[in-house]
Amino acid sequence: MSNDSFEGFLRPDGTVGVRNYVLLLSADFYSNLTVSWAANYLHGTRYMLSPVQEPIPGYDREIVERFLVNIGRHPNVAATVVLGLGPKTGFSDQGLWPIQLAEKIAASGRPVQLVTVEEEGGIHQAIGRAVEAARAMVIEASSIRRQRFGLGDLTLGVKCGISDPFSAVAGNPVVGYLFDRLVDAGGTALFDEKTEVIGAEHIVAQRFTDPATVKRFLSLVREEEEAAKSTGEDVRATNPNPVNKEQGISTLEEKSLGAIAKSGTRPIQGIVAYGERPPGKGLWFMDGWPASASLIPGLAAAGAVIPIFQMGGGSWPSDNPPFPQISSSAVAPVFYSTGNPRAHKRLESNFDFGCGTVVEGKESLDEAGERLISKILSVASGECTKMETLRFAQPALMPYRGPLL
Amino acid sequence: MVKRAMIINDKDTVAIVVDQIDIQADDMVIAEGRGRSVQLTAKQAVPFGHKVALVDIPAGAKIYKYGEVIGVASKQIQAGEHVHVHNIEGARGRGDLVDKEGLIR
Repeated sequence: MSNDSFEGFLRPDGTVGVRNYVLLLSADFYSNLTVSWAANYLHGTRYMLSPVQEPIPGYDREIVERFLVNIGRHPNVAATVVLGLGPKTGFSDQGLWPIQLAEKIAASGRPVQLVTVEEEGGIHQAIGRAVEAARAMVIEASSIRRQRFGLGDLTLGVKCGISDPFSAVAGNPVVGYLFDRLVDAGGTALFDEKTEVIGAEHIVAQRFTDPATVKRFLSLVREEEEAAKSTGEDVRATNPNPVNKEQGISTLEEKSLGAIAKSGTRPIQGIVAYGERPPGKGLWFMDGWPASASLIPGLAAAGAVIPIFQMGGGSWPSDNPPFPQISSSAVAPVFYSTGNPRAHKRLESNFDFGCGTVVEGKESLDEAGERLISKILSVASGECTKMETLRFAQPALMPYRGPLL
Repeated sequence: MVKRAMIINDKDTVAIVVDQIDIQADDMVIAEGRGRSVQLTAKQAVPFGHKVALVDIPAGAKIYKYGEVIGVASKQIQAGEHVHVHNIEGARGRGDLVDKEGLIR
């Protein structure tokens, strides 16, 4: 449908954002305090805390570098202030020096300013400098106008969690419908969770477009299962987790078969690393572990302008609980949906979308899918998500291979 | 009372309970979907969203949901029974079945 459009922001690198934030990015663990304090004084900003302090191997430092750079040049970000201890503090070999992060983000054409405690002569001076720089950026960014774009200009990502049986029959396939329409319109879609394809990998594998990737995908899943077995436990000790089981999911295979429905039905172009931007349009599988504090920000780093958290949610002990991921993606509004009619009624103040109607027989999957597309386009044009109204930052968890050295 | 359950695929041997089965037994359950309609007598309470057996399933038999195998019956299951962790085992990620040499026990 050609009238699927939204109003977004065109960036100098050609990406299309749905928000127009100035970002305060912490380049190292020491600067998290500086960043969160400075951000408190500023309208129009978001802040991302650094996830790294411990000495970690090169392949893990590479994950952190890719994550921070890709968050810093996210399509929803107009300009970035990078804060660090000093311009050349920390690990240099993977480009983790604050000055290197700033240069890589600036290569996207965005205004970037580096502020360090070392150069400013102390934390209070650094906060002052960051506030000054960010205020000028907020004013400059505020003159950027939204322009009309089509559904196919969006990049979306999905992670499912707190799953229950209605995730499989309503919540996930309705997101799958959105993904099919997005891919058909020329857009980009990301899904993930290699633990939660175990038992359903034969179905996912058929959808990769080239045989080499099929082999790689199956070997990733095999490694994941071997890792699970190496614990000496039945994987059911952890996955499905107690919440999934309470709601009626009995085995990992059952959970996986429901989880993959969120990817829709279109061909899968390839596998991207955690936080890596896909090299082309279409549907992509992102490698990573299922923790939401890792995957939601990872989807944002990969370029998702709205990460969707597709939840079961039947198990919450309260009608108004704190949801698992509030702002860990910082730069991209987290969108919560559910296919459980009871959860939607109980937790309407936290969910942006519900399709329990499918379970109740009041709406078809396609009708609910079209309703989801309208809602996503509205959020893309500026409508706030429920979590976006909260100002709170959590550092993202990185999927380190380790060891911690 | 008549309670509803949802059949997802033609091959399935379990259905999802949409109306909670509260009583101990004898609730009439109508499971429908994919052009199939199965009438069952509930053997026990089954919570909202949990699975009810559509047919008798012998111990060791594969259990189908979404038209795919979700596990194996760890004991004999009668049609109308609650199917969950007490009578279904997963076949994947079973580190508990692997000995020190990495072989299945």
